[in-house]
Amino acid sequence: MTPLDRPRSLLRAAAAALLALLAVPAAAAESPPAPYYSVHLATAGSKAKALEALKALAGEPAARAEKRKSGYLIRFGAWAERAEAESAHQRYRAKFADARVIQIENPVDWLMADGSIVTVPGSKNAGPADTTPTDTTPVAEAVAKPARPEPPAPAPPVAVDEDAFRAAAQRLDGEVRRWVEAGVARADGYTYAMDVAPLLLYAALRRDAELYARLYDAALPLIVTGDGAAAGFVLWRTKSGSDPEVSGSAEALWLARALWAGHRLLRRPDDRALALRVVDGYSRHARGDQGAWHVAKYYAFGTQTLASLSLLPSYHPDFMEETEPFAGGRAKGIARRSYALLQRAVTPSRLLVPLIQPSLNDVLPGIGVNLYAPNGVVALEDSCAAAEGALRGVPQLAKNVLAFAADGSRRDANGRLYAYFHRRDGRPVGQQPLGSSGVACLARIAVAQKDSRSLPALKAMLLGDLRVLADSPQSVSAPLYAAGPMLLSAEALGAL
Amino acid sequence: MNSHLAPLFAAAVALAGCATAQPGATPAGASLAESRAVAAAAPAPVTPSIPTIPQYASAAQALDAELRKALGGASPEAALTRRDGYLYGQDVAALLLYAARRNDAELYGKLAPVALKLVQQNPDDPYTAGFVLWRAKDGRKAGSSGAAEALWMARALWTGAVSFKRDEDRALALAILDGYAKHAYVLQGVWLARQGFDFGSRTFASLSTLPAYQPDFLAEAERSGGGKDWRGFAERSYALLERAATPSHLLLPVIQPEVGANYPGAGLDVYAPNGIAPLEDSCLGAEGAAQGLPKLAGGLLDFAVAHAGEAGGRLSGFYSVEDGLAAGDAPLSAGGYACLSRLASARGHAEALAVLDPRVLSEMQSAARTRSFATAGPLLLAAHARGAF
Repeated sequence: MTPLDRPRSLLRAAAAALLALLAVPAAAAESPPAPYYSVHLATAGSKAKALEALKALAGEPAARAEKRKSGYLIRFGAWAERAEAESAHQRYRAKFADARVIQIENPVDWLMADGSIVTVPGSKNAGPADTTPTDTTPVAEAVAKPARPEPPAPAPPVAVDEDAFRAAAQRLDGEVRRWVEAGVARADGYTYAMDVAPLLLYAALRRDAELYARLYDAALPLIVTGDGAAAGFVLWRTKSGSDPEVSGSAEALWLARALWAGHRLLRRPDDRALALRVVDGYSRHARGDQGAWHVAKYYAFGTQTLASLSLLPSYHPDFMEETEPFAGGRAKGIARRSYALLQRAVTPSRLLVPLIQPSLNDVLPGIGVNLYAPNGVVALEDSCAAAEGALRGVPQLAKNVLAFAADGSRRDANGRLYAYFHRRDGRPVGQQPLGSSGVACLARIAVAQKDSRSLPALKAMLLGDLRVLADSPQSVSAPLYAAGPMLLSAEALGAL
Repeated sequence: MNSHLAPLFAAAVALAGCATAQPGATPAGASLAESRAVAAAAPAPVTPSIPTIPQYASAAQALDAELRKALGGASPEAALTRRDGYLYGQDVAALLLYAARRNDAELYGKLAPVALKLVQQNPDDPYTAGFVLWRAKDGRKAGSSGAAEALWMARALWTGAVSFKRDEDRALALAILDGYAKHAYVLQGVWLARQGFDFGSRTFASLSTLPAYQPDFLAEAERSGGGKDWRGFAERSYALLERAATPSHLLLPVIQPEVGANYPGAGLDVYAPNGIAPLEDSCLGAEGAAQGLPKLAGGLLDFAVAHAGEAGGRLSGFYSVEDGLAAGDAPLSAGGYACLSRLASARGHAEALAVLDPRVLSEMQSAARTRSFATAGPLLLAAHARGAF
């Protein structure tokens, strides 16, 4: 990203947060923020006339009046693609002589049909907006209401002995080096991408060329070579002599990030090219248009088909935005679309719906969902993964997730966070505790957000996990899988 | 294993299983011990003691007459082809079942050749023998099969074999059930009948929906001694439908083990997207198990009565399984009303029939007027179960 891009990126992020908040129908909510395309219909001379005109637009996404010098401009929609606005425009061409598609670069606040004002980030008269989305409150009401009260204070933070934390992190770091030395394959003989890639990223961030080189050699067979349709795909796992089974898009993102970091921090120019090759392979997991766009979870080599299912860890728009200028054409627009998708995934609980599966509409015609929570359940770890992937572009996601996790009602009697919650009210669903990689993710985004309020409790949980893994690696089937995310967090916390 | 680490490693294992999907799955077909005494899946009993509203019988007869008139033309197939140019397996199978239940050999004889076009019997592709196409169009290659279509078609042929002593139809029904059995699989430890088979990619869908289960019929076919590939499927289907039941009386509509595998401990192998369930699918699930699991049907009919009462007799297409509230503005389809009506007739649920009869009447009048035979089968089956003929 060039320096000039930065302010625009921030504006986009802010406006994007608003669009998530608005919970407008898919067409508009899909759109990223200014600049965006809308349909202009008419100009009203007064507020009363504008409100009257808006009544006729009930059901249209983001139908509003924009008060500008020339009067109240009646408009609707906020699409990323001009074609979407053109399509909506067709419905009104005959009714409104002045109907046309416009690109809005300088937004102003929106006057909604019920008379309320939606504050638009980036507008001249923008004020603080509550960015907590809701799908039960009318759009304007949701925006206009006072800032949501702070969540109940969690149990007093457990004081974490910094020396003890550092010692535990260093101990696990040492153990991991020993495990890697012994070989990264699991007992089944396979090398797994999610065992290797986070640790490779860790080695790069530590600027540890030796550890990086060792892991790099292990990671290389996971990347599909050649010029075929699957070139650059990252295998879920591999074993010498085995045929490829499935790729993984989340695995690709982790490995590409690691290679990119290796290029930057360890001055390995070849890794840049390899990272971009993986980015290109990842991009070939993307498919669908408009509201149905998504990145498939995997590609099955046996059937040569992409999965219909997509999960949140398959999106990392910050990284894609960083590499897009250098990657092939396939990567173009993925960051923008991913930001928009993640914003659409936000639920009233502040966590994100975990599944994207547009083909479900073919199976259950009329149900009208592309993104959804199965049985209304949202997963804290997946929400965190999505927030981590959009820390730069949509930081509000991370703030939401951290605020959610800070609420004491989201923890069990031992102070451990639960794993699953209800998408509407955020109440825990079941008793499943959050896994260590989920805690590690929360700690990383808390560091990134400088959320000193959340960190003590998260560090206390992480300390226990670090110790358990270092003490009893034999009790788990994949110690490297667990170690990578934890060490990345320890690194982010400055413990190493 | 440390309890906090457990989910993490479970997730890793789940990912492994999920990613391998078909290669890692266990083929289904092994029988479970039959522990459920299931009554014979006879045609739904008529409920003459609960009179229909005026015009109901005449509307049913008018729709029946329109259907016969259309089928009497040069091409019965053309008469049943939808506006998109496709012939749909579900449309034909439901009408064939209706003809069999009416004991109408002439009507059955006109429909059977059309039905045959939807049953795969390609000697060059023995694996798909007995698969029933979701839809077919002249000049187009087979697109995908349907597990639900297979059950409907097999049931129609099975009933026809009994009604008309057509042994060849019984044999074809069994062949279709063998094809249906290939849709069944165990993924992540969950048995399911996958939605369909894509002939282009030669792959099965990874998920399933409620119409793909009719354990009452499977139990009947099993008792007759037919088939080996699908033995035990009735029991498995009952278990799955029981698992789909919710306190709201709606059924969770999607079975997708790879979703459950990604969220260990959350029990999400069977789910409703955003907590929303289509009422018609819940009904079709309950109808398929009306005899083995009558509580599903009873609960669903109570649900329908309560919600129709709140909405002037009309039902929505979708409801929340959490609070039972209508979701969205889509109305219940003609097929949904017909299914509920058949269920109500089978159970003699007078309250439900009082609510449903006017809607079914209206749908029959509409179908006859527009000559829409896509909904004719389900509606005529409902009218037959209601004693309209």
